[in-house]
Amino acid sequence: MPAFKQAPLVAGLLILGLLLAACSSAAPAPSSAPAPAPTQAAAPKPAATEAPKAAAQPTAAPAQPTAAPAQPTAAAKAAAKTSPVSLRIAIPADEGILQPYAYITGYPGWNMLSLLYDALYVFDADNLPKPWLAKDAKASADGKTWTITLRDGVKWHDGQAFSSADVKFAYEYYKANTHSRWTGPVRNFTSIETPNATTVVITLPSPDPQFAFRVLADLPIIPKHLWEGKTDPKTFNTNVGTGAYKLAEHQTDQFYRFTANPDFFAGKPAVDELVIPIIKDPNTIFSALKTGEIHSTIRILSPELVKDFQSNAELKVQRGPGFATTLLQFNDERAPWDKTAVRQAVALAIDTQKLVDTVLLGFATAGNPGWLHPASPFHDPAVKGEYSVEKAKALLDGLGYKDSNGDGVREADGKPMEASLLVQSNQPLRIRAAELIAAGLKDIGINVKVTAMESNSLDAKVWPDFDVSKGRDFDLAMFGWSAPVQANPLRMVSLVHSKPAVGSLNIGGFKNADVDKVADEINITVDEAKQKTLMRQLEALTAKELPFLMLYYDDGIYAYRPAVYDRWIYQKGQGIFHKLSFLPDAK
Amino acid sequence: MLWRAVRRSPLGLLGLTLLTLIVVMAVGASWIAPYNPTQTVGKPLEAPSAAHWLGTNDIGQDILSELIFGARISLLIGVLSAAIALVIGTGVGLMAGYFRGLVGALLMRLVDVVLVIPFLPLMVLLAAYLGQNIWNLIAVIGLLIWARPARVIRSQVLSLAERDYVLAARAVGARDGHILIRHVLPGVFSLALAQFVLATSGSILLEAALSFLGLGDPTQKSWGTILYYAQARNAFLSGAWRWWVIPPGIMITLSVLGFALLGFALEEALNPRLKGRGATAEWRASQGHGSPGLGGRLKRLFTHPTSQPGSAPDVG
Repeated sequence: MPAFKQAPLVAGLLILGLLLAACSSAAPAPSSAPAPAPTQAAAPKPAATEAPKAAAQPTAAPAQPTAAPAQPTAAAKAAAKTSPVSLRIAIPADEGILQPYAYITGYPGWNMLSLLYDALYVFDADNLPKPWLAKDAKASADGKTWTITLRDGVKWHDGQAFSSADVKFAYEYYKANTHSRWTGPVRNFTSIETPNATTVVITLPSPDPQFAFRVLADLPIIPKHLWEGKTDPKTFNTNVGTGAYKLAEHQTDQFYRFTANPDFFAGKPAVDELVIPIIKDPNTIFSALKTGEIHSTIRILSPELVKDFQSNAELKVQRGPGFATTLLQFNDERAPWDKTAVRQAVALAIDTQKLVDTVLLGFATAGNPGWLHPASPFHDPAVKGEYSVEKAKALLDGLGYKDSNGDGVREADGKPMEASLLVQSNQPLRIRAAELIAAGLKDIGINVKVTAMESNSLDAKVWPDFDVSKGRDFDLAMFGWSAPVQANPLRMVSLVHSKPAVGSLNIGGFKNADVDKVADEINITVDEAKQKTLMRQLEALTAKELPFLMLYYDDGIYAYRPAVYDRWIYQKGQGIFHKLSFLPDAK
Repeated sequence: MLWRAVRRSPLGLLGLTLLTLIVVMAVGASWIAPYNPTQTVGKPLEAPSAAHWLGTNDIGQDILSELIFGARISLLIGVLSAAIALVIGTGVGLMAGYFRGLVGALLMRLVDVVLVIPFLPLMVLLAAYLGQNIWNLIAVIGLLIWARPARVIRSQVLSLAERDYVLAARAVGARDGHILIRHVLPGVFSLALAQFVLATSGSILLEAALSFLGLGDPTQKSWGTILYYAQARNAFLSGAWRWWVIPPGIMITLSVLGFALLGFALEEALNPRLKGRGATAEWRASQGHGSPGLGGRLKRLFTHPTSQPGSAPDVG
């Protein structure tokens, strides 16, 4: 009996305790927020309500706190000369065997792969291809023959000499063994010849303006003496390349460990050892970074943590333009979204700057309706987005799409203007953006229902089998492309061309003869000045026709511990985690 | 009936009071809440202030208003999925208790299967397969928690089916359907009510768990969804958990507790097996299979979300 009676008492006390804990822990909140502002004490009575706003000011100027850790950094540099540098950089998932046929993601899998393997060219910090394993490469006058001269004395990780035979073998291997990224660029080669050990001559059927981007700088060279005769490339367990690092250890789902390659052709890398632990949960990654268990992460720092990390003297935050995109994808085949004027009205009703300020707390760049990131060298500053609810309404009125039954929703050709906006349920920021978009479109009489679904299900509706020729089943969708699509501006053609073979990323089924014409011309133009003019035309056309509405480009925000290593290089739009950051002549 | 059952139990009264408050909050949300929870009314991620008592969330919506409106969604999901569970559970319980042969055995094995289904992995699958919206969530929770009510009701039916008036009805040639509906169902009705209240508390907790994991409908403002966004926007690292995580946590706790206390009180009063708990409890203890006390049952409720408390020992 007594035990029976005490139990509810304990439960009651527990609730009371919880309530008290809640009150007491909620209470200090407002006072802890303005902590960095000691002048607060002098403020008069209305401080209580003003506190959060006041707190925003000191932290809004990130320049000062980040400048502070300069001294420990200098000390670390001095120390680095004597003791080996070991860096721990967390990634969110295992990347499989690090070889060209088995790595998993484009980021960070490809970045890790390129620590082990080199291509003939390398993308520099501005994403422009520069000679690497090759000393130089020249195209003939007709643009069909490329003569490539290789470096002397480059060695594979196993000590064998690297030669032109490896290049020929690698390109032919990629042609013979299909891979989504490597096979396309080499498929049409007419011939590959190797007159001597350091020369490769490649003949093409037609000029390829993207040869340096898609072939020279992208395709990793694999050793002939190990890969020859391998018929099942996906399961071949090998890591031998010519790269700056060797893979010392890989424990699946736990970590990778790289060691510097002392024989690397460009000199011994600056970081002696790279340990890449795999930590799935972002909260855990950022906590570990704060406590010093890891020194950096490939994950972009969440906007809400930036202030806190910037004010932490042990951490440094690098921020730059990001090329990963978030866009509102129209189904350009389905009424009423197939009408340019309707898409223009939608674009006018969405305040992209407000999306950036609200959802991403300002840590992003508002979208250019012409797709290209404003930091891209091809971008025409004259192309700009506009926000005007009045103009949007006027456009819809002009089409005769009016709200005739007074329910707040316009009718387009007799049907109410309603749409389902699909969004990936594992992307909370995109869901939030979708909610704000729906609110904006409500103001112009379009009723949008946000539907969250699992990302594979969404892909199956928007981009079935990742093949745009297989159709689509949606009204509107939140979508995004990873940084490489934006990093190479010429890939814009694949987003807007109506032929699936060319417009392989045209998931909205957009069709426009003018756009196709310009895009076709871009694909065969080698002359750089002409290319630029054509790209500007394409950008302007895209901004007017709006096959999709570019919403924002997330900033790249990377945090690291400068005391351990502080020679990171920010590769435009792609971040700091790539081989340039670890090379001996970094900076 | 409800009042008579609760009147004698102070904890039941506490539960009823809590629930009344939460229901009033849900019904009157439009008047009570200071803002429209779907509108951006402030800067994102503000700390509590006079204008926003619990601060603002990641897109500048008022967290207090979200919390008040959240009661609607959480209660709706809780009550509807409990109703589904109860309809199935009562049906299965009646059949399994009344037809004791092959039908009963098969139904009880089905109940066993449902009881041991690993809940979250299944939920991940269903969310992917059916799509993530509130009605699917209700259906799925309902379809997964009916087994315990079914067991409890079956054990009651087992004893009812042997009562004289049932035997008499059978002797005069009444059809099984008639007996079940006219004579057995009324006998389990009060027990079913207690099970309904308990199932509601369980499904509120489940909804919160699923929404927190991002498996619910992230566009609906339930308490679990508030927690989901708090976690997604790193409230635990930035310190915002004090006003973004604890309040919905308390609301979930209070409503689950409210339903649980009321459910236990009803069960104590209405379940013949637990009636007159003083004497029976001691008798049971001496028999070595005492029903777990209220404390023990509460503990079970909170340590395992799918475990519905109060199932009487299975007889037969």
